[in-house]
Amino acid sequence: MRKLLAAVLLALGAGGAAADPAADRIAQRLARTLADTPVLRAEFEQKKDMAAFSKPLVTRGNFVFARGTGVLWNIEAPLKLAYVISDERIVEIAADGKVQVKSGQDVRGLAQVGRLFRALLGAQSAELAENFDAAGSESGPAWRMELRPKSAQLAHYLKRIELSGAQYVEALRLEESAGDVSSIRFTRLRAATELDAGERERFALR
Amino acid sequence: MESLRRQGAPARAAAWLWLAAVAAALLFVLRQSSGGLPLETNVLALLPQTEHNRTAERAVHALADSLGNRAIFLVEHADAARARALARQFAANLESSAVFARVSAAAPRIDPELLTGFYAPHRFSLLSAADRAAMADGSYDAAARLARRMYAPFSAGVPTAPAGDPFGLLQSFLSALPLLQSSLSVEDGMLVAHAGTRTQVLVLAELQGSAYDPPVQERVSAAVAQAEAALQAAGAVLLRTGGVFYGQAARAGAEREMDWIGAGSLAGITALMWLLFRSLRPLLLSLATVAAGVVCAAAAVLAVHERMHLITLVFGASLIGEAVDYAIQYFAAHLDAGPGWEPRRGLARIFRGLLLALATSLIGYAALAAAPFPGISQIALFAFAGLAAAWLSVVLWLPLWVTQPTRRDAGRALAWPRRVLSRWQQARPRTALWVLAAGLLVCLPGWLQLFPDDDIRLLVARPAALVEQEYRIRAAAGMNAGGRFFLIEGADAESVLRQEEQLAARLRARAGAPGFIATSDFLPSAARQAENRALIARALPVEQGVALLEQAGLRAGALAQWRQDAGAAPAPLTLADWRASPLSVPFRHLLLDTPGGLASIVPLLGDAGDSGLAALAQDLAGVTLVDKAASVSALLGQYRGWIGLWLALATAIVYGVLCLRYRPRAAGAVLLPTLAGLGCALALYGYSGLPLTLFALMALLLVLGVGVNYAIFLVEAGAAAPAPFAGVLVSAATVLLSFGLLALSSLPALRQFGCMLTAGVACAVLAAPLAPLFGARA
Repeated sequence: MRKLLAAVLLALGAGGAAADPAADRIAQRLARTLADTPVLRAEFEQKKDMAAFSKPLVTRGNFVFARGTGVLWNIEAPLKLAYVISDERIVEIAADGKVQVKSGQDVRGLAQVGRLFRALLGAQSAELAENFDAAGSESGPAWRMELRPKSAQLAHYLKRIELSGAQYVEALRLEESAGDVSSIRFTRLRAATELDAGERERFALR
Repeated sequence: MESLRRQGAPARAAAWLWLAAVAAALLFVLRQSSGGLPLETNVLALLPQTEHNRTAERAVHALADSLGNRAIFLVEHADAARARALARQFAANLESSAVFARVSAAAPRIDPELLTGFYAPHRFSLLSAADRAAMADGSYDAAARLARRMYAPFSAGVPTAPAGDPFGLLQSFLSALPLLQSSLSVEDGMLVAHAGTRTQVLVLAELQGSAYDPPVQERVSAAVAQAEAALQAAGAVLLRTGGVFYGQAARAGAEREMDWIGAGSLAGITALMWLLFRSLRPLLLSLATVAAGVVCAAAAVLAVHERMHLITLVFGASLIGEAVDYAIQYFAAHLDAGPGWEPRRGLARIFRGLLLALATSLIGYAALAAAPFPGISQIALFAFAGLAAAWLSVVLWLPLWVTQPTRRDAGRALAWPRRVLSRWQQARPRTALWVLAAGLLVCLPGWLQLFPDDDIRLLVARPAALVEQEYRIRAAAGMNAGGRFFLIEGADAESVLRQEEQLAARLRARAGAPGFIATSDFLPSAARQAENRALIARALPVEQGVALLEQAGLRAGALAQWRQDAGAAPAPLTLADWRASPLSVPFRHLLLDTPGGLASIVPLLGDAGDSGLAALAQDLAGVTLVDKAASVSALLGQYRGWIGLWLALATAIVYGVLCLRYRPRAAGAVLLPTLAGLGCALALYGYSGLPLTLFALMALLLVLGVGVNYAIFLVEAGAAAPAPFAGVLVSAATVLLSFGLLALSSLPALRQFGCMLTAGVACAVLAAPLAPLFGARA
C-alpha cells in the first residue's frame, strides 16, 4: 500500500476514460450504493507480506467511510494509531493521544494520497481510471475488479490491485512488482446515516 | 541662382557633403534594422550595474537568464478534474504550436531511483531538518518511527526500500528536498493550487530563443492566444506570466506610442507652420531637417549600442518637436525680411542666436550622455546627435534652398503675435517685478509639498492585466521572482555550504520569512554530514536499531546489511558528486565559480516584503542580501540628487555662456523667463501631488535648454520684432505638442518627463518677453 501510493504520486501517466463495460457497471453499482450510504463502518484486517520480513505484518482495526467528508482509519493492534484522511489534510493520532496534522502544504501529494485511498475504498472508477486499466467480472451480487497500472513508471512499483466484494468493497489485494503483497479484508460492513460524536470530533481536528 | 553663385563653392560643397553624410547614416540605420528595428525590451539592459560586488551582478543575470526564458501559466476552473484535463489539453496545444522548446503540465519528473541511487549510500549522514531537531533534543523515538513505517496504511513522499531505510530517515530527508521550487502540491502528477473553490493547474513552458527577441515574442503571443481561446470556450481562465509577455507588451506599447506621438507631432507641426507661413516649401524643408536629425540620432545610437531601448524610441518620437525649432526660426527670419530676403545675410542675422540656442540645449543633454546609466545615456545620445544634425541641416541646407523672398504678407501673418508682444511691452518692469514677486509667493507652498519617488517600476510599462495575473500566480505558486536572493561567497565549497546552512537555519526559524532554495539542502556540508552521522549514532545506536529490527522480524540478511551500513563510514558527498548528478541540472545556475572560489545563490520565493532579512545575515561572513529592485531604487535616488545638483550647475554654465554675448545683467534677464518656467513647473508638481522623480528633473534640464532659446531668439531679434516671437510661439507649440503627447505614455518615466517638460516650457514661453523687458539687448 505504501509503495503504491507513493508511486502513484510520482506517476505522471495521463488519464483517460477507463475500463471494460463490466468494470464500469460494477463501479456504477458501487457508486449508487454509496450515494445512499452517508456513513459506512467496518472492521479491517491488513496483512503485509514483505520480502525483507520473515513474518507477515498484520494490523487490525476499524474504519469509517463518511461520504463527502473522508475516512477514519483506526489501527487497534498491534499498536494504537489512528488516521483521519480528508481532501485537505491527514491527521495522525498516536496511542498517547498526540495529534499530528499534515496538510497538503506540509507534505506534497498528501491530498492525492487521501483521494486515492478513498477512491480505492469506494471503488471510485473515475479517480482510478486516470492511473489504471480496469477489468471486471460479476457473478450474481459478487464482483471482482482488477486494476493494472497504465504508466511504466507506476508499473515499476506496482503489478496489480484486486478489489472484490458484493454490496461494498470487501477485500483489496495489492501486489508490488518487487514481490511484496498487501491484502486488506473488511468485515462487519454496516451502513449508518450519521457519524457519532467521537467521529465528528476526529474529523474536526485541524 | 545668382544668390547661389554668390554664396560660394565652399558652402555648397559643405551642404552636399552633409547630405551625403545623412544619406550614409540613413543607409546604416536601414542596414541595422533590416529585420525590424533592433529593440531592447529587457529591463535589466536599461539599468546600470547596481551591485558593487561583481559576483552579485553576475548572480542577478544568472537568475534572470534561468527565469527569463520561461513562461508560467495557471489554468483555472471550478471543477478540479476538468481543470487538470484542460491544463493537459492547453499544454498539448502549446506543444503542437512548435513555438516552445518544451511544454509541461506535469510536475517535474523526478526519478525516485535517481534520488535513492544518489543519496542511499550516504543515508547515515543525511537528516531532514525536522529529524535533526528531534534527534538533537532527544525526542526522537526510533520504535514509534519503525512502527509507523510498518503499519501506517500509506506514506507520502519519495519511496525508499523498507529494509534499507526502516526508520524512514532517508525518506524524510528526500521528501523535504525543495525539488519542486514552489509551494504547489502534486495532484495526479500535476502541480496544483486551490484558490477558494477553484482549482489552478500549473503549466510551464520553455521558450525557443530569447524572451526579448521580437519574433519569439510574436510567435509566443499568437500561440498562447490560440490555446487560450480553447480554454475560454471550456469555461476556464488562463493566468500567465513571464518576461516574454512583459517584453511583448512593452514593445507593442512603445511602438504604438512612437507611432502616435510621431504622427501627432508631425500633424501639429504641419498645422502650425501652415498657419504661420501658408506655404508648402517651409513645411517640407523643415521636415527635411527634422528627418536628418532623427536619422542621425538613430544612427548614432545604433553605432554605439547594439539595440535601441524602448524608452529611447518613444522619447525620440517626441524629440521631433524640439529639432524643428531651428528651421522655424530660420523661416521666421525669412518671413520677417519680406521682399528684401537674401539667404546669406539672413543666415548671418540669426546665426549667433541659433548657435547659442544649440549650445544651451546640448549643455542639458551632455551630462546625461555621460551618465553610467544605459537607459538615460542612450536617450541623451539620441537627443544630442539629433539636435546637432537638425541644426547643421538648417545652417547648411536652408540658405541654399530658400533663395526666393516670401510672398506672404508679414503684416497679416504676424498680427496676432504682434498683439501679444505689444501687450508685454506696454507693461513696465516695475509691474513685471510685482507679478514675479506674487508668482514667487504662489509657488512657495507648492515647492514645500514636493516629494521624491525612486521606484524601479518607473522604467517599465507594466500592463495592469499582466501584473494582476503575475500577482495571482505568485500568490498560488510562491515562485522565485529572481529579484531578491542571498549571495554566499567563500573560498571553497565547504565554507560556502556551511555559511549557507547557518543562513537557512535562521530563515527557517524566522516567522513569516519567505521560502527559499538552498544548495546545502541537497548537498549538506561535510561538517553537517559528520554532525548528522554523530546524531544518528547517538539517537539510534546500531545495537538498539538492530534489536528493534530483529523484534520487527527483519530477515537476517537484511539485518546484517543494515548493521554493516550503519557502522560504515563512506566518504561524504562532495560538490563534484552533486555537479555530476543529473539531479543538479535544474539547480546548476545557483552555483557560480568565482575568481575567489565559489558563490551560491539562495533565491527567495515569493515577494513577502521583509525588511529585516538583510539583518539576518549581517554577522555571517560572505553572506549578503541582494535586492535588485531596491538597489535600482537607491541608485535612481542617488541620480536624482546628482541631477538636482547638475541642474543648478548647468544653470550657472548657461549663464556663463550667455555672459559671453551679453552684459551680466542682460544675461540674467535672458535667463529669467526660464527660471520662472522651472519654478512654476516645480510648484505645479507640488500642488498636483505628482512625485518628483529622476525623470521629472531630467525634464527640467531640458526646460532650461529650450526656455533659454526662446529668450535668446527674442532678444536677438530686437525688442519689437513680431516675426521671431511668432517663431518662438510656433516652436513652443510644437515642443508642447510632442512632449505633451509624451505625458500620455504608458512608461511612467516618460510620462513624468512629459508632464514636467510641458509645464516648464509653457511657463517659460509665456514669460519669454520678460527678457527684452528687463533690458536684455543683443
